[in-house]
Amino acid sequence: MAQALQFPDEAERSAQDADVVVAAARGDRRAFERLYRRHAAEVHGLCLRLTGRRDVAEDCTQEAFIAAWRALPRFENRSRFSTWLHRIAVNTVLARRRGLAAAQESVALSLDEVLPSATDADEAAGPLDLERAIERLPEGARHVLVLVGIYGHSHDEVGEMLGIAAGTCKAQLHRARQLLSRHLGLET
Amino acid sequence: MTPQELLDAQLARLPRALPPAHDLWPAIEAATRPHRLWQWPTRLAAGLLVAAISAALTWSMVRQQPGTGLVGSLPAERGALTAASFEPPQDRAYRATRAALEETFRDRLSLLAPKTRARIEADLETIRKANADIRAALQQDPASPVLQRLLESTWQQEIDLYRSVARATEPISRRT
Repeated sequence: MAQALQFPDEAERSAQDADVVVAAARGDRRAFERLYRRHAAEVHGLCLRLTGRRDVAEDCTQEAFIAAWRALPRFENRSRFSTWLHRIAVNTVLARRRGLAAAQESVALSLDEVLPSATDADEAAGPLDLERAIERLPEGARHVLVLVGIYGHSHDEVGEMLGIAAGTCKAQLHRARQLLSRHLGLET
Repeated sequence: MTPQELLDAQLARLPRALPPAHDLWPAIEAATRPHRLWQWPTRLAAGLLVAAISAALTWSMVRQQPGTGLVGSLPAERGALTAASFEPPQDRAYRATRAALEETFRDRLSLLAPKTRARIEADLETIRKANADIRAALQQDPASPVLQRLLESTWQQEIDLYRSVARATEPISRRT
């Protein structure tokens, strides 16, 4: 996984977003609600995996969409709307994390409640095992793995989101994959 | 399939969309609705402005005409007036200071001429009505910093009104 994984529906979804984004940027609130309906679950999934806390993830999702509404007039279509929105979500999570650094609360991730059950019995590890293993990764490695491995962003994009060099991003991903493989017993 | 390829495949199959437990749109919609953000503060600010102007006029009336604005004799000084400062309402020191101010205010209010007293009580009612309206608005929009600030300003205005009455009656108190 040296490069970001490809998600074939991304281009189509981006094209669907284009007109709605333009309308929302002009202040059309219904258009913005459509964007929310289309992207909220994914943004929430990203926030949940980055924060590991369901309550914080909901707050961050909410804050990210509010920030997106305010910043929409400045959206320049240089990246996909989803990428731009994810960047805002990551910024929100990181800003919140800095603010809450002193609060060492640990609340159950509750992924069991939001993840579908495993459907492929032949897999070495089910999605819940994998999610729990991801949750245990060191934060830096986890952030990169989530953004690159699950959400399909490039190393350049993730480096920009997290404020790290692309090379550091690749190194973190390599580390994350090694740790995951070891944890899941995939190493030969 | 190598172990790394198996891992990559598993990662790619994880759902990217994990919906929140409840719909977040109403809160987002409320926080981004422009007319709502302005509607409440404008309406409430207007009420507060009326209260502030009214209180200022009352204060001016009481200060300039102490002889005609005050009747009767004054009780002993309670001491907490000059040291009072505005604190968040949940703070114990604030509550104690506010209670002392209010008690003094009530005592001295009874010494004022009926017309002046009615004017001050109307001011206080306006401030408290604004406070209740803002609290109701905050129930709908608890994260609004504008409403939170307005709420704080009503507490401050109430304290200021208590102080105005106390200061206006102070010279008479010293003479007696």
